[in-house]
Amino acid sequence: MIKARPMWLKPYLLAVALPLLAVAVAACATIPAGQDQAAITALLQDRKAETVGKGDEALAEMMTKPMTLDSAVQMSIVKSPSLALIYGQLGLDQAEVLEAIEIANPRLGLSSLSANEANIETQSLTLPIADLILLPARLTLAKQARARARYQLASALLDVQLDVEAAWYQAVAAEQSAQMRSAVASALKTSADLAERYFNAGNITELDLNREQAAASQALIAAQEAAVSAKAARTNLDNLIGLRPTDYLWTLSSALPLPTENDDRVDDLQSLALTHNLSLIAAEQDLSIWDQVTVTRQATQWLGDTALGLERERDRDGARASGPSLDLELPIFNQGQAKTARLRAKRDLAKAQSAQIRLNLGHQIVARADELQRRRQVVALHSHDLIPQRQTIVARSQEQQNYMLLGIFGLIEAKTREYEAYEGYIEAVRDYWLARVELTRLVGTRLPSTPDILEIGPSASDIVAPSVSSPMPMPQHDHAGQP
Amino acid sequence: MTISRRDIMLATGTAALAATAGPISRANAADAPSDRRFKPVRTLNGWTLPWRMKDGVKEFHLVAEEIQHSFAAGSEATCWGYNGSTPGPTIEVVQGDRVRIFVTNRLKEHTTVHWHGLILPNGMDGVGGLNQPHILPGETFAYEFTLRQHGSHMYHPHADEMTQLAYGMMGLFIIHPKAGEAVPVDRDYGFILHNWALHPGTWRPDPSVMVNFDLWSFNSKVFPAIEPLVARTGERVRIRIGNLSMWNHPVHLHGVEFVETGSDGGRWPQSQWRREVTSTVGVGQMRDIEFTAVPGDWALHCHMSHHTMNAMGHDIPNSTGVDQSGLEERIQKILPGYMAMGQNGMAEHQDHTDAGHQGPANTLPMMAGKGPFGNVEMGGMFTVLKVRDDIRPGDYNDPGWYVQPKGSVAKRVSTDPEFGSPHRKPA
Repeated sequence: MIKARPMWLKPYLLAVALPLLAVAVAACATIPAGQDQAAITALLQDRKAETVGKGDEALAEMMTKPMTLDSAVQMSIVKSPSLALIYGQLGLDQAEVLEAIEIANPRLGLSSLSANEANIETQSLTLPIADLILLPARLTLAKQARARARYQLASALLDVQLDVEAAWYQAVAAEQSAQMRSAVASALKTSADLAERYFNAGNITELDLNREQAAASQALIAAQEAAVSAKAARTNLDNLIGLRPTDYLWTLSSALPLPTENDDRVDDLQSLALTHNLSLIAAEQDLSIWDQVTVTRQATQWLGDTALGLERERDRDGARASGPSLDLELPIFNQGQAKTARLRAKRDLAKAQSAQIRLNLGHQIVARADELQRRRQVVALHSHDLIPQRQTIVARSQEQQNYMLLGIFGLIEAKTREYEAYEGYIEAVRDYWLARVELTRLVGTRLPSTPDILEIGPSASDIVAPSVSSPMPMPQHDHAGQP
Repeated sequence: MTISRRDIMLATGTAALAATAGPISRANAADAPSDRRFKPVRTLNGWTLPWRMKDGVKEFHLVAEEIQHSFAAGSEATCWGYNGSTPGPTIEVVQGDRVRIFVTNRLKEHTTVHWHGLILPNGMDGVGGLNQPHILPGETFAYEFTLRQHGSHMYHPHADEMTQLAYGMMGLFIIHPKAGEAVPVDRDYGFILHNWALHPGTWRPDPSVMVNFDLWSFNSKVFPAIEPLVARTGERVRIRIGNLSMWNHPVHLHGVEFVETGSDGGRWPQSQWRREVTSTVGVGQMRDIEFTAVPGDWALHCHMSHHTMNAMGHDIPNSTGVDQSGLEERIQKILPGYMAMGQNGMAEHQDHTDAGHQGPANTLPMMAGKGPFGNVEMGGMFTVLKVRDDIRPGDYNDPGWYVQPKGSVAKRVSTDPEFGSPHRKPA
């Protein structure tokens, strides 16, 4: 008596069920693209970065006012060419993930063997059973890899904003410095013109005249160099934002903000970095992935390239035979050691990279926090000490010049040194903010000490504007007592 | 030994104070004895040190100390002097007097006192380390000697001399002739020439400066703070001028031909008197000049014109002849307080400073002083001899400005630069 075959082994059932199962599983192996954008936005919002792009009308309105830090960043999240590159990379990452979770296609085998004017026809259908068994694990890994990609991309987007911020500080400072250099050049030109009058009157030597003229020429050269630097900094900023070359008419803010009132504690920054630095999080995600891959590999390496299928044959006499098939890889010559070793090496590499990023981050935060504190002190030394001292030097020099104790050239020179002190101040404020941008980049989020509103410092035009409107009025000369 | 009337008066006048203890200060100077054998010297802006008689010896007490001094209103400094002043009080004695001079050192470094030009025992000459030990801070030394000469002399430190002189330690030491004046004088003035490196904006003289000084003084005062010399018309006036500065000074008196009559070598015989209008007083010298006073306000000053200016810059570019039109406005854009000056000379400078053009703290303008006809444009070693017909003998009060007799003042005859046909140097 022929034992009835279990239903599930009935060939025609297998022929239908297996493909359907494969299709159903494959369908689960996709992730909607919209989830990526929302997740990345959430990551940025968590780090107090800009996320909402303004419309064309709002952007046009922004360009009628001076370019502030905020408007530069807001413009960049809409127009920056880097964003297209980053989102393109997101598309590539999605493709790689899809590749990683692809199941090998079923294989249909057909053969027709001829012998003695009769054919033996065979049909077979096989499915990669190993792929199917591992699919849930691979799906999980794919999701994790996708998350890693989101971290990396959010990090890149945050970097774009921070790059724009740094470029804005550079551009504003360069423009202000160029104006101060121009003021110095103008003052020394006046001094040189005056020296020429002294020389023409026969009162100073050609040597002294040329000293004044050379100083004026040197200052003019420096002013031109500063103007070139300012232009380059502005071009770099416009490029990062994604402005057109014709948008240079969008004027920059005329002054940098003053440093924040307080510093953050290094311990707090370290803790914040561990939870917010996206490069670190991505690296740790990477390690987690490779850990799981290695464990999964160790548990399932015996599966090899096993396939489950269905075979059907029609003999010469028309008899048909069909049944399931199993294609089992025998681990005789190798047990997949190479693949296992590669996976372990990747895991170890990921572990080392994660540890290195963490260590580096810790050191960098300490160094940058220290730098930030010192940059703040440098700003304070300029504003509280050097500049007031230079102003006092000018005031006391003016008194000496009033009493014919000091010549006018010495007085003008004192004034140019005051301008240079202000230029140093502008650069010190710039360096403070650049250090703060880098610290923010390391920590991975806006520093807690960042206030909502920042006080704006003096602009170059404020600095060079005269503070007293007119000199002492002259007395009327008389000849008292004449009979 | 013959006791003269002068000796009796001297002994009587001072007996009451024989038992007085402690140094005699300005405060009790009014009670100090006087020596009627001579007409007292009037020390411009200064005073004479009282003394007491003790066992036939005139005792004086000098105190070397740090003081606060005013060169003129708006110029104060920490100086060193004697008994609260620079110069220190004038010591006046008569030839033949025996003196005992206590010197108390309240400085924080050692000192001594040298009696410039005096003939005395070597151990009393006052060169620290050579003639005597230094007087250490807190110590009091006694100098004792008999005056064997007459003349106008000075006293000053001879320890860390450059520094202590630079800070103002000096004084007059006048020895009147025992036999009296060959030609008596009605008024006898004395002052010491000195120089100060009180750099603009500072409050302590710099002792290391050798040539470029900031202030030039008569008795440590500068014009217009130097006391005027006052005399009645026809009085015979003597002026004793000492020089402890670092520079020789040709002192010029307007209005008279005076005669040089003495020095720290003593009163000269009349045959050695020399007529001058300017007497150069070398460093370390004294010169006495005498004249008969004629009415008017007569300038008395060093004729080195820089010495009649207060602080001025020596290395500033010369602005005479420099047209700054157009440039002044450009400079004012960066230096609003700037005012172009000096194109036509420096006369306008006093107008600027009088109008309030601000100078460094504690610094006098280069030139100052207002006379009845306008700016005097002087500073430093400049004062005025004021002679009036109606000044009472012994009255040293400032009588105000002289009113010239009608028709005796230079008057304007034209404002046209082309006026007249003056001769020019032939081509």
